[in-house]
Amino acid sequence: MAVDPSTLDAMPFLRRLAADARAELAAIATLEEHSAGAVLFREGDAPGAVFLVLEGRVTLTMRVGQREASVLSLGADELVGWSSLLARRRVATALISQRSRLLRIEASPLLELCERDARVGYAVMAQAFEDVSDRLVDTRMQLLDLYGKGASR
Amino acid sequence: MMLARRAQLERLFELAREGGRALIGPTVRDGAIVFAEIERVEQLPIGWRDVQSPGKYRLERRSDDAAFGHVVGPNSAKELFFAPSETLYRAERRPDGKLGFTAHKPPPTAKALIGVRACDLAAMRVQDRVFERSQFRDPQYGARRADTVVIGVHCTEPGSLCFCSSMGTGPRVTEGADLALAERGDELLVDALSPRGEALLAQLEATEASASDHAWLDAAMDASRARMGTAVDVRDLHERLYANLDHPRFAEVASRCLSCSSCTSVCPTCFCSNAVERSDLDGAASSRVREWDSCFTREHSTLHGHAVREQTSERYRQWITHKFGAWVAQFDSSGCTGCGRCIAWCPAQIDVREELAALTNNDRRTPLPSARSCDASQDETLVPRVAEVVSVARESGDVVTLRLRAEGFESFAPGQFSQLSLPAIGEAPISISGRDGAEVEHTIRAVGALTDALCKLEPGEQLGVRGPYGRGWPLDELAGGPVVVVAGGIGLAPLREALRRMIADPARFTDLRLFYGARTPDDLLYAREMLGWVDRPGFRLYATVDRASATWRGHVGVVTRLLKRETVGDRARAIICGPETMMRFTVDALARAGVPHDRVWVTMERHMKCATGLCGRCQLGPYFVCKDGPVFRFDEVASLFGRQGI
Ligand SMILES: Cc1cc2nc3c(=O)[nH]c(=O)nc-3n(C[C@H](O)[C@H](O)[C@H](O)COP(=O)(O)OP(=O)(O)OC[C@H]3O[C@@H](n4cnc5c(N)ncnc54)[C@H](O)[C@@H]3O)c2cc1C
Ligand code: SF4
Ligand code: FES
Repeated sequence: MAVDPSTLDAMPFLRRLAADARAELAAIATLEEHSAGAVLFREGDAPGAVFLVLEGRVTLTMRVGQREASVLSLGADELVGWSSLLARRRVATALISQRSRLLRIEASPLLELCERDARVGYAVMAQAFEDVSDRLVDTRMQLLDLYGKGASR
Repeated sequence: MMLARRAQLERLFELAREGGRALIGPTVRDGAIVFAEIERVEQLPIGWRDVQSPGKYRLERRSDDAAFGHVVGPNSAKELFFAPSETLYRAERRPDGKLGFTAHKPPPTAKALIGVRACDLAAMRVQDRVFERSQFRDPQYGARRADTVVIGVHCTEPGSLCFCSSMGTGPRVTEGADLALAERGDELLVDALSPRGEALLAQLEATEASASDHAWLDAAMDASRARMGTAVDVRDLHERLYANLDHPRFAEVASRCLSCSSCTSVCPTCFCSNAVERSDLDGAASSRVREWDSCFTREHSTLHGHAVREQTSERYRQWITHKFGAWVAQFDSSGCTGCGRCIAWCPAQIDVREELAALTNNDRRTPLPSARSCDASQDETLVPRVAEVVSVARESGDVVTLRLRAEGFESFAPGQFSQLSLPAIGEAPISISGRDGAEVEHTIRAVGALTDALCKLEPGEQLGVRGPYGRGWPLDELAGGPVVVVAGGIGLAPLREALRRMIADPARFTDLRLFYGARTPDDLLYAREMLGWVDRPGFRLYATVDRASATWRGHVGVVTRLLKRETVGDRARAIICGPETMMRFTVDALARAGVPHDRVWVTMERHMKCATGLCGRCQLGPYFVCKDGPVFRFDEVASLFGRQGI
C-alpha cells in the first residue's frame, strides 16, 4: 500500500525533491510499525527492502562467534539496509530496539525508479553516500577504541 | 661611578663574605670556567679566556692577567636557586597506616655572587619571574634566592657566541645587581646599582670616576655591542615562530639534533622539572624529589604510555618555540638571554641563531595571547595534605569513585582537578568529580601504577591530596541559553559536578542536554545517578556505547552521531570532555550545527607534575594546561588542537 507523499516530507533529503518525484517514490513505499524485538532482516539474507526510519530505533547487530554484537543503532531520518541498493546480501541483522515507524521501499522498484528519474536517483544515492561516509568515519572512531585502555581520557 | 685599584677586589671579597656568606664566582675547574664557591681572589680565572664556537669550548691563556677576561662557562647561577635535585617533602607511614607529610626546607645559606654577566643577571630575572612572580610561588627557590648579594661585570670582550645585544640583555650590567664592575688593566670601574651596593662601595678605597672614565666605559660597551652585531632578529619573533610550526627546517634540524638535552641543561633559564619518589630502605618513609628535566626527553611529554612529542623535530620545536615564543605569552619576556651556551655545548654544533633565521624566513605571523599579569602569587610548597577515604564506589570494571574527607576544597569549581598521591608510588592529576560538604569525590580509572593503587584503597585508608587546581567550566557563561554537554568515557567525571549544579538550577539552565558516549554499557559511569536526573525539568540524556550485546536497547555508535540527530540550535553553548579525537569530531559537528568555536569549551590533558605552572611539563603552546586550563574555550586552542607533537 503506497503512502501519502506528505509522509516523505519527514525526511530532510526528500523534502528537496520536486512534488512529482516525491509522489513517484511514495507510490512504491509502504509504512510499517514494529515493536521492540522485531527483526527487519537478518545477516546473510538475500537483498530486499531499504528502510527509512521515521521514528524509533533500529539496531544493527553482527554475529561474532556465538554471540550477537550490536554495532550501530539508527534513528529518525536514517537509512537502514542500503546494501540492498547494491544487490548485496544483508551484512548485518536489523533489530527493532525501540518501537519504530519506518518507510519500506523494495530495492528493485527503487532502483528502477532511480534509473528512470535521475532526480530521485541522485537524491537517494547522495543520501546513501552521505550515510555510508558518516558510518565509515564513525566506524573508524569505534575501531580506535577511544575510551579503551591506553587511550586518552 | 667610582674608580678603584683592582687590588680592591680583595676587600670586596671580604665584604661580600661578611656574615658567613658563601661567595660564588667564576673559577677554573676541569678545563672550563665554572661558577663555584671561592674564597680568594686568586681563585678567579686570572689570565684565562674561554674560546667558544658551535660545539666547542676550550680555555686559552691570555696575554694579560685579567680576572674577568672570559665570558660564560657551562653552568650559571641557576643551580644555586633552582637546585638540580631537591627534596620537596618527606612522607611517612606510621605503623597504624596513617600518613604524614613534612615539607623540606633548604638550609638557609646567604650567598654573594661575583662576576655575573649581564646575560646571566637577565636569566636570574627570568627565573625570578617564573618561580616568584607567577600565580604560584616556589618557596624553596625563594629561600635560596633571598638576600643574595650580586656583583655584576660588564662584558668588554664578548665571546664569539654571545648575542646578548640582540636579546637586549647586555653587555652592560644595568639592573639586577648591587654592584657593576668593569675591569680595565689594574683598575676597576665600580657602579652601585642598589642601596646595598652603595654601602659596599662606600667601604672600598675608590675615587670618583672622571668624565673620560665614563666615556671609556661607554665606548667599550659600544665596541662590545658592535662585535656581536645583530645575530637574532627579535622583532615579533614569538609570532613569527608560531606562524612557522610546520616549517620544513624542523625536520632538517632534527636530522642533526641528538635530543641529548645538553642545550637545556646549560641554559640559565630552562625551568622544567620532574618529580620522583625515593623510598627509604625500610619502606616506611619516602621523599618526593624534584629534579631538573628537559623537553628533549621522551618522558617529558608522556601521556598514557605515548609521548606527545615522540619525534626529535617535535621536541626541538617545543624547545625553540617555548624559549623564544610561548615564554613571551607566559612570562612577558623571552626565555633567551643570548648567553650562547646552548651553541657551545651542543655536540651537534647546532647554532640557535641560524635556526631562528631559517625558521622565520618569511613574513608570516600568528598572534599569541598577551602575557597574563599576575598580581598576587600564592606560596606553593607542593606538599600534599592528608585525606582519608570515606567510601569507595565501583563504577565499572576498572573505574572507582573515591569519596575523600579532605580540607581545602571549599572554593572548588567544577572542572578543577586535584593531585592525588601515595607515598613511594607517585602523584597524578585527577579531576574532582563531586563535592559534598567536606567530602570530595574523584573518579579514577586504573591505568598504571598509581591509579591501580588508588583504585584499591579502602575506607579508612589515607592518601595525599593537593588542589584544587586549574580553571573550571564557565557555568555563569553557560546560564540562560541551551547547554549541550558532551562526554566521552571517563570524561564524564570532570563534568559530573557541573551537571549536578546545572540540574539543580533549572531556572538558569532551562535546556540542558547530556550526550555521553562510553565503550560498553558496563562502562557507563554514574548510571544510577543519571537515571535519577532523567525526569528533572529541562534535562535530557542521550547515552551511547561503542559496542554492546544484542540485548542492549540503548544507542550504539559514536556520540557525534547522537549529536547530529538532535537539533542543537545556534544559540547553544557546549562543554566537552573526552579523548582529543572525540572532542575534535564533536567540535566539528557542533560547528555544522551552527555553534561557533567561541561558544565551545574543551578540557585538555597533558603530562603534569606540579599542577602549578612551575614544572613546565604540561605546556600546550603558550599555555600551561594545569593553570591556564584544563578547561579552554575552543578558539583559544583551536590552532594547536589535534596537531601532532604540540
Ligand atoms: C587535568 C587532568 C585531569 C585528569 N582527570 C582524571 C580523572 O578524573 N580520572 C582518571 O582516571 N584520570 C584522570 N587523568 C589522567 C590521569 O592523570 C592519568 O591516568 C594518571 O596520571 C596515570 O598515572 P599512573 O601512575 O596510574 O599511570 P602510569 O602510566 O604508570 O604513569 C604515568 C605517570 O605519568 C604522569 N602523568 C602525569 N599526567 C599524566 C596524564 N595526564 N596522563 C598520564 N600520565 C600522566 C604521572 O606522574 C604518572 O605517574 C587526568 C589527567 C589530567 C591532566
Ligand atoms: S640542540 Fe644540540 S644540545 Fe640541544 S638536544 Fe639537540 S643536539 Fe642536544
Ligand atoms: S607546569 Fe607543572 S604541571 Fe603544569
